[in-house]
Amino acid sequence: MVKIRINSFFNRNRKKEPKDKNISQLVKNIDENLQNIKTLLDEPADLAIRKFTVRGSNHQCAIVYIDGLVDGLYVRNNIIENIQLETEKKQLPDNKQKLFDELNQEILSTTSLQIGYTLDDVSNGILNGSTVLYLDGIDKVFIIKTQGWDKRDIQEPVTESLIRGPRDGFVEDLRTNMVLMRRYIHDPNLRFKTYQIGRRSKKSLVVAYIDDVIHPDILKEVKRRIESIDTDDAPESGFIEQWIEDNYLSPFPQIMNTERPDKASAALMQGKVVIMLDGSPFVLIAPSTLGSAMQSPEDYYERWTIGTLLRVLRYLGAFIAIFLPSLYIALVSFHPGMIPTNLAFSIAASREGVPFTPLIEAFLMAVTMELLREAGARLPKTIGQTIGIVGGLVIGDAAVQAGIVSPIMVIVVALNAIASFALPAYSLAIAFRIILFGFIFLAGTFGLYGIIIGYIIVNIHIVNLKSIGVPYTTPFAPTFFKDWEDLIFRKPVPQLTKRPVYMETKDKQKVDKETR
Amino acid sequence: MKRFEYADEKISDKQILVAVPSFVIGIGILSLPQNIASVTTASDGWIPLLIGGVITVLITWSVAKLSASFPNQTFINYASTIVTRPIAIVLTLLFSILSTSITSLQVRQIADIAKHYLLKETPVEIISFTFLLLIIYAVAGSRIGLFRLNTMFLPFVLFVAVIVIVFNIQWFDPAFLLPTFETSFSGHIEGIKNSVLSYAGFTILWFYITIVKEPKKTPKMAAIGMCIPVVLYIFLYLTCILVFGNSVTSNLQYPTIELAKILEIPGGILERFESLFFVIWIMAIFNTTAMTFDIAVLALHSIFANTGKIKLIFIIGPIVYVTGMYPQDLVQVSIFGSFIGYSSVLYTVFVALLLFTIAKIRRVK
Amino acid sequence: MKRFLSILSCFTLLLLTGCWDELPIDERGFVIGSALDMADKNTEGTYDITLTSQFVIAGNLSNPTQDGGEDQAAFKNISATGQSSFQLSREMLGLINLIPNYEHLKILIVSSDIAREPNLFSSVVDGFIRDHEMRRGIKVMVSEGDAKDVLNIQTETEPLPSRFIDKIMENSVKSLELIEPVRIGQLHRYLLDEDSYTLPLLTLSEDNVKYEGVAVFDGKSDHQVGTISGDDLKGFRLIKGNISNGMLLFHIDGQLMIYEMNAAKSSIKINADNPDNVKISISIDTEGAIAEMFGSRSLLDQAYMDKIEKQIAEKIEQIVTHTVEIAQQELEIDFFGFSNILREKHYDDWKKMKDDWDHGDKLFTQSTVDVSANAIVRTIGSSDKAKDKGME
Repeated sequence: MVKIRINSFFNRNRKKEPKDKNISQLVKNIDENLQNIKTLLDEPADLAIRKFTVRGSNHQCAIVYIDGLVDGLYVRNNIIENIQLETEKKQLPDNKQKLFDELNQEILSTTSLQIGYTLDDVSNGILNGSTVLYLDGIDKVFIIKTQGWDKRDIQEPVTESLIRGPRDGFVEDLRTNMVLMRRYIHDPNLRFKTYQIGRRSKKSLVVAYIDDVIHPDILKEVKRRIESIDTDDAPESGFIEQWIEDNYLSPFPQIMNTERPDKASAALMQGKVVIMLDGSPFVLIAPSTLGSAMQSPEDYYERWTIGTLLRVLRYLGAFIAIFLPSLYIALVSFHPGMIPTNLAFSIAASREGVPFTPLIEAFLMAVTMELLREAGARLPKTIGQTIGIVGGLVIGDAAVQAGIVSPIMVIVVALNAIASFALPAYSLAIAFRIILFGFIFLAGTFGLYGIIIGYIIVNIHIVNLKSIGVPYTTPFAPTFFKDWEDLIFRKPVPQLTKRPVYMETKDKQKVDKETR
Repeated sequence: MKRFEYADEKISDKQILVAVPSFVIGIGILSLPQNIASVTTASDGWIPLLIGGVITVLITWSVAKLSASFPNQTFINYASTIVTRPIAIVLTLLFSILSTSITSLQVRQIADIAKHYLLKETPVEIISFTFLLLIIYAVAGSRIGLFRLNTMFLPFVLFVAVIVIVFNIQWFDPAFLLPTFETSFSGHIEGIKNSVLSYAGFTILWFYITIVKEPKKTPKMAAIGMCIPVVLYIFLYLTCILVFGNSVTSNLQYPTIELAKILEIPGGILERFESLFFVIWIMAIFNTTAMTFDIAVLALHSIFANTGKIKLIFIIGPIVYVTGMYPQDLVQVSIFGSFIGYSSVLYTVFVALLLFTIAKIRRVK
Repeated sequence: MKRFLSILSCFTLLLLTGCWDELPIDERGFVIGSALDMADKNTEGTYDITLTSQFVIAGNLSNPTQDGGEDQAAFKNISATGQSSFQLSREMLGLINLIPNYEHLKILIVSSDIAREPNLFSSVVDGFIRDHEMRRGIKVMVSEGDAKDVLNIQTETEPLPSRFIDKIMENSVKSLELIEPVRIGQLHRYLLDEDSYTLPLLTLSEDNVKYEGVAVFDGKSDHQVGTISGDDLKGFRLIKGNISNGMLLFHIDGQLMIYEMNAAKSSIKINADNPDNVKISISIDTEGAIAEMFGSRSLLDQAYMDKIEKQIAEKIEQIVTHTVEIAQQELEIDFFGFSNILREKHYDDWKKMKDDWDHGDKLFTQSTVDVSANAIVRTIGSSDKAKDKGME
């Protein structure tokens, strides 16, 4: 069994029973039924109720839906019109139960149809975007899937743009996202398991996986954790991520998110699960490791040489993003002998007249950098650009001119910020930016000794970290040399024949050896 | 279907292969060339290093063999089977005390060297305190985490050692190797003694082999692992001799760090490589110290099974710190160091012989 | 969780109290060169020495003419007098607003007054070897006259005199009359092994400095015993071998000719069977080109070429023999490293005559040195001759 350190709150085992669950049965009288649903929802303005009689009989029936959640044309064409027109052509039974069955079997031409028995079913259906069809004298209803709300078109992902690669990205609508996944993988073993999240919001959540690839223990663990989620609402998949990750105190993201269906489908092929939440264009990939967070789909789309070089560049970027300012402080304040003689003299010259110690200087500049970034992200895109120019160029230049910071420090901080943007996973990049401040203080206290202490602390932390039971540092340690062929170096695609060994997939081989 | 189990608390024998050199490589090598060079002529030091290495590999192998013949049993358990429980408790307790003293020695020495090469003004107490906190944080985590740290750090350590050797080639003067085979017998004995002391790392095998999943191949792996420091030490020693000559090597306090001092990185990105070298070497020292501390905790934990691990850590921690800070100067530290060194080697050999013979006599299997 | 927080707060507290070593780079005064002079010789046998340190003024170094201001010196020399060099380096704290930092020290100049005093030299350089701040790559040299004046020279090509001298030291690869720079790490070995050795010698003329010749040190008594320069230095280099560039003047048929060596190797064999008459045979092989010639004979003549080569070899033998003679008779010091060869190759014999080699019985002066040389002229340059005889 996967041994997972379960966070204590998972054990409380709360029941997912909403307080006000209305399980009252439907009654036979249509008016009473309609009144009940109106009372339950407190007669909202967008609740549409249309009562009519089945043509050629005096059977009362009514449809109820929320205006805007349903496709109005679909409701008219397939429900109302059918009941009104189709019934003309045949003899309708008088018996209400028989009529109900006939409606079910022959008349309603909708693709998805369920039968509801309780007021709860009705309200859930309506709020989901279904249309409920009441028939007078019957204590059952038809719940017809008629979802048809306005949704965003499939667009290029904003946060993960590639030069080469598919241009489609996930959208807020869960069904569109499922369709996207289906279009990427036609495997009959692709499974979607649906959950409902949120005591009040009742959002749909889908766990996607490929059944004969994924290791059952991982799947079981993911399902167990999702079932343990106890929240009233989950507006974004970030909520899910923080609920189910192994260590919610860690700055490191143990579950990756992506907007790209190609990345998600690649993860499925590796034996991972993809978690999609309705209302969020960011799907979650679990388990994920430090190594996988440093990869980008584009590594595979271009030839292996550039793929490998890009990865090496990214590791270098990660190094700069974490260490550069602290290294600068350590060298300038503690170990000037390590700087080459001529460079040492020119740094000393450039620092002349700067009133702050390098520690304070670096701290000021790094905070300014964070401010600029935060401001740039909040502002509308067009102004955001201006902020970048004003902040980066004008303030930086003015600060140097005024003698508040040394020009080399500006270079150091700018390079550091650029490096952190070069990382493909934003959630990891922000983790690095947090750690950066720790390193700045350690370097300001102990110099290089402080940096190595910090490095060891971070390492101790990440080796004890797990993502759904998979050690975060796999395949570095525990070492799987087989997986190194697609880690920092990437072998040419035809040679990448195996799924990751560390995922212990059922189907180990990506390609059929015989045919090669 | 295989269970998803590599993430468990069990380790593979490959991790022992990494753990042994990680444990052995530490502070010892920084001053070892000086010890060896001062008792040998010219480059003859490689002979005692090699002989000492062979002896150590043999001891390692036999300790591992003995431990591995009781798979999945803790030291105290199989020692109880062989020599009754009270004696086993005493043996374990001694191991714990020994490990505690080694930890305090390391914590002290690293502070001394860091003060010499990195932080001249910072008090030793502060440097060792931060290092001890680091060790406590590491040990408070999972045990398998320590093994993963070994795997993460050992490549860096070996890499930086190789860099020091390779980039010093331009300073090599083969004349320093001559004359060969002129060392007296007593010099060789002294050298072997020094080298065995610096290789001493068998303690971990008594305790860590018990958590190896399939300990069948472990003795072989441990022996191979032991060869890594032997080879590395011989190379580093020869580099010291080739660069400095015997007379200078025997007069430098930390010849290995001085090697890094004269190294020039092509392109001149960084000067004074010795600071960087020592900083990376701290990773090696960290591994050694963390594992020793862990063994002190593990040994004590096997006696007092009811006391929690964290509690034990916080009991041992202050003891380590106070012991480490007790010696006043360098000479006292080195006396303390050699005392600890001798006792750890002799004690391991003693325990190994004791358990071996009694097991043979009583035919315990 | 509580425990975690308490550890965290302890750690932060620790960080806040810290910064013992923190000192920004602009508050450090980098010393790039140091000079040691004899100030006074006390009656009770102790010495007062003057340490002069050259501090770099970084601001004036990188942008010498800021705002059209005058050129300001990029360095400042500060002297202090006392008994130990280490103590002096600390005394400088009172003389300059910057904290002295010796991590970028490049050169150490010792005046020959100090060098000539027996048993003093190793003591004054000890601080430079022992202190961790000092590199093992500091170049050590001796100056004729006051060493601190060397640090004051004016050059147009380089704002820092120390760096100027540092670069000059590197020129040895191009000339036979200069020796390779001696680093303090190497000096440490000489001192420990009690080998005799040579250090570069600087002479001051007007306000320029000239590097010519070397100072010869006796390892046992630890002081400078003499200097050699010119052809004798060439001989020294040729015995040491390992030359990649250098030139040699010689005469053939009364005409001056210059031989440019591209490589020279020496191999020294010692026969130490008889300690009273150690036989040292040196054979030197050189390869090179004719760089310049007076006269107008064609060089494309095998017989003439052979003659030239023979002449070069003779010249080399003559130079080397003279150098050896100086060492054996005048200085009575083996600074060629023959003793090292004895120790390396004839360890048993060496143990017997260790104390009597260039001291005591002075076996070195009694040894027979046999020199043989072989020269090859590989090319003659791009032209056979500059002036044709036929034109006369």
